[in-house]
Amino acid sequence: MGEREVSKVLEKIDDYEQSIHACLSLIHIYKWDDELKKVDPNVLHWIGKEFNPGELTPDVGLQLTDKRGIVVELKESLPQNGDNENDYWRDSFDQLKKYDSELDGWDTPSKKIENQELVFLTAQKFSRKVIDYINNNNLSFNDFSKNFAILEYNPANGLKEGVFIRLENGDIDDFKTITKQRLRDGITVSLSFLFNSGLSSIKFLDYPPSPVYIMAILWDHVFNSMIGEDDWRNAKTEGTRKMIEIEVTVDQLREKLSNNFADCNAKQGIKEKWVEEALDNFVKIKFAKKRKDIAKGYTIKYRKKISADDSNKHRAFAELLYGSAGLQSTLEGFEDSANKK
Amino acid sequence: MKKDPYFLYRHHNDINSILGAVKSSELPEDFQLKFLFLMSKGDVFEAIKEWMPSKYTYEILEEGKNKLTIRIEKHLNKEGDVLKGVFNIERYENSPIYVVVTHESQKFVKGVILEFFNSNYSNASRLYLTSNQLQLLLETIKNKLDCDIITERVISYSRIDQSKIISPGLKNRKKESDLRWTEESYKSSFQRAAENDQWVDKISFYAQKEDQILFSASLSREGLFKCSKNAKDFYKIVGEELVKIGNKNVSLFSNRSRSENKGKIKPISIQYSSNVFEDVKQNRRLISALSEFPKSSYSVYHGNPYLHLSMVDYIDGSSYDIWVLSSDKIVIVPQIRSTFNSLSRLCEHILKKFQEGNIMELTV
Repeated sequence: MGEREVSKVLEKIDDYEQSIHACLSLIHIYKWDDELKKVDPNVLHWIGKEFNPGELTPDVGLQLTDKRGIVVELKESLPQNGDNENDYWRDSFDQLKKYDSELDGWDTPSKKIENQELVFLTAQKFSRKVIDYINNNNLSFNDFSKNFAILEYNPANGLKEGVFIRLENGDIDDFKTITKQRLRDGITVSLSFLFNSGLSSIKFLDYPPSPVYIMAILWDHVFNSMIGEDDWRNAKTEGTRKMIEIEVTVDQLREKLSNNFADCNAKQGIKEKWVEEALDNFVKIKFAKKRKDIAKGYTIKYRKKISADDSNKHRAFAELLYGSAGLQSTLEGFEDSANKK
Repeated sequence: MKKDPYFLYRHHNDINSILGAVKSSELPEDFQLKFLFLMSKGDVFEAIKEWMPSKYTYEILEEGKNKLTIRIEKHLNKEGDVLKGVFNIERYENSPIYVVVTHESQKFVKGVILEFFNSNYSNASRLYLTSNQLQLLLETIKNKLDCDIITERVISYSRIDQSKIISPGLKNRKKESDLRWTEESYKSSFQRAAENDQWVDKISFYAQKEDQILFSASLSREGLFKCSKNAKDFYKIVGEELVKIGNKNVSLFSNRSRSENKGKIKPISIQYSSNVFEDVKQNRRLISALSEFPKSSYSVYHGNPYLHLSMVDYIDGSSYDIWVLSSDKIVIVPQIRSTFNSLSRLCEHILKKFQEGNIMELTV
């Protein structure tokens, strides 16, 4: 308990944000037309769209033409793997194998696509281990997929901050100026380019972030938008220490988060369970209470200051929940769900 | 016999008519009119009629097609002390620019009018100006009237580098003022401010043609102008210029929130002509400047090497993500709620407290 747990939460959030940037950068690479200097509207993308059979929701789907699609599965981290009996990676690759079939759900008349390629996108620190694992276990992902490729990502610092994406193993066909060779050399996408393609709107992938990440977004950008102009005026005239009470429901917040911060094509956007967990955390730290008059209803006690040092709300909420001065509640539940990714 | 100054406001269709009356009246040499320029994406007259902050009471003395004459009182304390006065507010030729004009004291202007229009109406904002725009206004006056502009007084500010303060008593000071009484050309004043990394806050000057003083006036970056003598000429020239600036700002600050754009973002940027953020220390300077944004809270999610923070403006609940991803620009991304007034105040705050730059549509 204490600082170690707080650091773990912050690390998880950092991994999640890097994964968002990586997915959006990969989408940007294929959607941005280098010659026309604009987004190619014919290239379609989805985050968390459902494909069949098996109700599969790959992290990213890219439909480059009506004949060619790329299915992307992301792994931001993998647990330390053991021997055959303790092979914690097996599930991840079994899941990946499910994508290696003729998927139904593309934006074509038949819902199917002629050339389907499979990409495993992972953080640079894992990519070599992943390649070794695939080779050592003789895994293949070409039953239906035309190509299988392992792409790695890493933050890129320089004059412009961005994401470096590189083809580490396998094959991928060329598309316009995005050639296999360019991907082999590595492509850096400046995060500022994501503003151009409009992708920066997205703050969620198809799997849950730390509840603390959701709490910060709710606090910074959602609760404040639910307070009427008159309430802001009254709160202001009565001093900034004034607390404003906001009545919310899980579904209402899920909808707001999905409409504003998730990919519009995601199957469900933000899941109700994620929002409920974040709200229950607000209850734990006494920033909210459950309503008795409505199911899954909460009253938020919104205020300007959440703790003595709230200059990073991820840290401030994490400390209130898991820090030595906070509730010291367990992280086990969160770790379980995070490890599934 | 002393004239009731209310004649300035009564039975005039517009400010030009008021200024004409002032010109033809025998008024003292030091009689001064104050003009406060506002911009709005909505109807300021309706906004005033719909809601008034609790400390204020008002009476509409006259109402015309494009103007209101208002007597307003601000209740200062429980003992019943009030500050009161009259002003005229006019919409400038169907543009999004509104002009408040009054002859009342500086105390009334500062204590009532400025405060009243500062943050109470989400669709209206003061028309803030940069040093460059102030200089451009003076150039326009000079060219249009074919006169000389002589600077009398310049107030400029520079931010204090906290690490260089030795005296503990000065630790809380954030800016250093430079007040100069001069008789120099305005160009020299602005050049000196730029060379010393200062922003010009106010400039007082007189326009002189041959041996005749056309008018004395002052301009401030907060859109508050003053003029004695020949205010009609002054108003005509600055009004035209301010409409151009105001139109651009209205388009930059309007309809930026996600809620107005189906969840999509509509960022703007503050662009610098040099690589300000090449030195990562500037990230800290920007955070420090933003921490001074009144009635707000901020949260820094990444400070190095790139900057990502979020801000909530507790005046009306607007919120923003702010990014520095390259060395020459700040990107401001309005979130679900972002009002015209809040975005305008935030940009002015960054320009004033961090560094002046060009506010523009984001281009990468």
